[in-house]
Amino acid sequence: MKKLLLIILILVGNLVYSQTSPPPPAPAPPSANEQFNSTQNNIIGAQAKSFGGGSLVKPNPMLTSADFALIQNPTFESGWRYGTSLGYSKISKGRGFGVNAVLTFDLTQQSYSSYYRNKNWYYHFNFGKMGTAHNIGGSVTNMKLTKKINYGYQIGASVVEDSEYIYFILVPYAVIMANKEMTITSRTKWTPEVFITVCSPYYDLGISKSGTSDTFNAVVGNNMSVKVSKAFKLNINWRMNINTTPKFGIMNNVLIGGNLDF
Amino acid sequence: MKKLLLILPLLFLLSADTATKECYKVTKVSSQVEAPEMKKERVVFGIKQMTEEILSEKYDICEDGTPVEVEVLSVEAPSTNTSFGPFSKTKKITIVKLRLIVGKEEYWGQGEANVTVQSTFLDLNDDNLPFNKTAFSGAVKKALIEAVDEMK
Repeated sequence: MKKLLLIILILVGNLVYSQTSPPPPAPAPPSANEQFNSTQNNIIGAQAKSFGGGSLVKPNPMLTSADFALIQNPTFESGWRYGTSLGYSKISKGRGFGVNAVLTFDLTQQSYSSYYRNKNWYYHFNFGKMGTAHNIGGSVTNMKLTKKINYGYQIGASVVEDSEYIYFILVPYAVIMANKEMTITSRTKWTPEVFITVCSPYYDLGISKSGTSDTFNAVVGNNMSVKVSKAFKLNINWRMNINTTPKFGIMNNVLIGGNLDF
Repeated sequence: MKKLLLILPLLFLLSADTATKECYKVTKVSSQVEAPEMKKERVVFGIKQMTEEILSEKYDICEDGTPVEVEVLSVEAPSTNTSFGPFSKTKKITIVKLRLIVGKEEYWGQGEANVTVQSTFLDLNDDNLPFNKTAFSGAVKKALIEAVDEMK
């Protein structure tokens, strides 16, 4: 009887404490492509003040320019960042230049740009940092302002480098944008807007290899402007940034006040 | 004889006065500038009046005077914008260049006037300062004064 009880105890102990299946494999480190997909949307993108300013690809700070900006973090990070803009521009007869800085108050996102404008054409040079990633790039933008709808496109390229995730990438990108101003009341105007960004393929400068990115970014915005006097208006813009990178999800921007000229 | 002596200096004084003070008449005001914000007729009329006023401070204006033509060559309005967070300052400088054609002579003038607005959290309705008539007329006046000063 004692032997039987001992055998039962051993069997039960084995059942309880033994592993019934092999341990799951350790999670593989993200591939360079995944890392790139996670970060490229932070950096790439363009500046579209000619189109009302704000973000094309969030949380690119250059794209969230406003007097005061509430910038929602990606879903994996949660929370909000707050930022502001500084700028100078000089324009005469549709030609001129400008310089801008867009910063979050915690300085984790900094972006600087300069541009030359010739009528409806804008030529940019920009650089900045987003966390551990740095970027430098240039772009050309053409805008068409009509009575019915405003639209434009931008073609550019950025070099993105991240010392933490170790990559060094050149990526061209294209942005299509459109908006339409609609009068709600004599003092209130609503301007729905859309920005679509595609940036693929890209070239890895570190390993001299090209690849493709299947991410796609769209920003849908709603700008409300209230005329407060003969010369001035107050802008409040709510933008939703929709990105196909799963960890980003939908991010919101709330931009208050005037936007920068790029 | 006394009367003759009295008349002679008078005649001399009158002739001296007419020799130094020329008489002008503004005959034509033209503009090479197409500015949609301002009506050309009103601008032309305003400049004619202003030119006569400035000329009359130094010279006579008369119906049969030397013809003076005013030609507005260019109107520029570069605007600069400086922003620091919610604080924004926009400055628009109106620059007018013109010339006076008096006989075969040409006299050039340039005038500037500026308008500055400051705002907090607000944006301009038209992304730019609207055309300002006061600034324009101020710049024209300065340009005319400069051109008339050259007439020596």
